[in-house]
Amino acid sequence: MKMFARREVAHVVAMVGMLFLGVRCAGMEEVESEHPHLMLDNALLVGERTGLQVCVELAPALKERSGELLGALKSDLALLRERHPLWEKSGFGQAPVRVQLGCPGAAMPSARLESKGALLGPGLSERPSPFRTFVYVLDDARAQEVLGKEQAIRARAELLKVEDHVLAEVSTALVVRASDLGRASFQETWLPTGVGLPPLREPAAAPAADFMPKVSGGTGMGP
Amino acid sequence: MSLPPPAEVPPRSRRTPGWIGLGWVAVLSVVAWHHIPRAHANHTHTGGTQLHIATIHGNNGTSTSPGDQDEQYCVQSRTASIDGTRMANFIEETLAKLSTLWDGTANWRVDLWRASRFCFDYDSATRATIEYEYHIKDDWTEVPLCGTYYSCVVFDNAVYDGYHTHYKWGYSYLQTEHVNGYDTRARKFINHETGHILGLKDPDYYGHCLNSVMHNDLYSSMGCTDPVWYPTANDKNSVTRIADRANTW
Repeated sequence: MKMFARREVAHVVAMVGMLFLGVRCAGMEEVESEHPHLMLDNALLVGERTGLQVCVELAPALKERSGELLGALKSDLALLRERHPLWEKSGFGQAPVRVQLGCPGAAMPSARLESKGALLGPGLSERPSPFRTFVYVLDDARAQEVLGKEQAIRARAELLKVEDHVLAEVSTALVVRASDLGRASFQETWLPTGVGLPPLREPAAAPAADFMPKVSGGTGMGP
Repeated sequence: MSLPPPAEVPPRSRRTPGWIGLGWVAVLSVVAWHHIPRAHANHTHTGGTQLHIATIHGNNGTSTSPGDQDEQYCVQSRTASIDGTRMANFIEETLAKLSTLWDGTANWRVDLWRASRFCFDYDSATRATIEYEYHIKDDWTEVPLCGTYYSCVVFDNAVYDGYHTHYKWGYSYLQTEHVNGYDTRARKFINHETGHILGLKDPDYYGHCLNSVMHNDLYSSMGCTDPVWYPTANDKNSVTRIADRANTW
C-alpha cells in the first residue's frame, strides 16, 4: 500500500523546489544590488576598495620622466600618510598605498578646465575602478592651456549611480603641474583634497559670493 | 455456493489533503519574507546611502549673513525658455519663503542663502564657495542618468571628516518641463531634489509609503498616493538625524 499518492509527492517536490529557488534568488538579488556600493563611512567611497590606489597619467612631453615623477608622487603620498591625522580612520591605512602609471579611460586634458563641476575620466561607471584618485601631470606648456592661473584643479573622475536620478563622485581627478610635485602646497593642500581628506593647510580664502537678504517663512503662502 | 461479491472498494478520494495547503502557505510565506524588502526600523529615509552636503552639520551664520557652515545656492538657467531671474525668485520662494520649507531645518543647520547672481556670473574661486547649484535646461543629455527624462542630482567634491564622507558641492539639474509651470509640481521637483542634497532617499520599494516629499509620484507612484510637494515633518526629522550624525549606516 502506498503511503502517499503520486500527486502528494509532486506537491512536496514542488514545495521544496519553490523554497530552494525563492530563497536562493532573494540572496542573489541582494548580492547584485550591493555590488558595487557606495561606502561613506570612510574615504575609499566604494565598498570593494581595500586601500588607497592612485593612477597617474603623464602628458606626452613627460613620458621620459615617468620614473622620477612617479617617485615624487609616492614620496608626497608617504608624507601625507605620516602627517595626516585622519589617514588611519579614512581606511587608507588598510593596505599599502599603490601608485600605477596609466588610468582607466586614459583621458588627458587639453583645453581649459573649470575648477568646479569638471569631469575628467570615465564618468558614470557601473563598476568603479579601484583607483580613488586619478592624477594628471602636465608639463608647463600644457598646464598653461588647461589650468591657466590655477595652481591645480580637482574634477570628478568616476560617478556612481546611487538612486535612479542621483549620482555621486567616487573617484577624483587631480590635474597638476609636474613642477608642483614635491612642493608644500601640493603636499598640504591639493593632494589631500584629491584623495578626499581635509587639507593640512587651507588654501587662501576665496571671496565669498554676495547673497540676497533673507526673509524666511514670512509670506504666508502655505502648502 | 457462491461467494458473496467482494465489497465494493470505495474510489480513492480525489480531495487534496489539508496538510498540502498548509505546506504551500508555509513555503510561500518563507519566500515572501525573503523577497519583501525590510523596512528600516524607524521607517524614515535615513537608512542606506544618506549622502549629503557637508555643511548640514553646523550653523555658524547670523540672521543677516551666512557662515561657512550655512548653505549658499545659486541658480542658472541654461535655456532661453526660462527666465533666470523669475526662476531664481521661484526657487528662493519655495526654499525659504513659504510656511513649510527646507530652510531652518535641523535647528537652522540647514540655512539656505541665495547668491545674488547667477552661477556662471561668478569667477571660479568664488563659485567654489557656493555649496549648491540649481541648473535648468531643456534636456540634460550631457549629464549621465538625467538625459531627457529625469531631473537629477550630482554630488561632487567628497571629503572625509573623521566620521563619514560627505560632499562639498551638490548640483540639481532640473528639466525645463518639470519646473516651467511655476506651480506645486515645480515646487515638488525643487523640494524633492533638495531633499536628496540634504541626505534623503527615494522610497526603497513599492509600497514604501510615508508622508514625504521624497515619494516619487513625479515619475512613478511606487504605490503611494501622497500628494505632498513640500518637506514634511517626517522629512525634516530625517534630515535632523543626518545632521546630528545619529543616522545609521
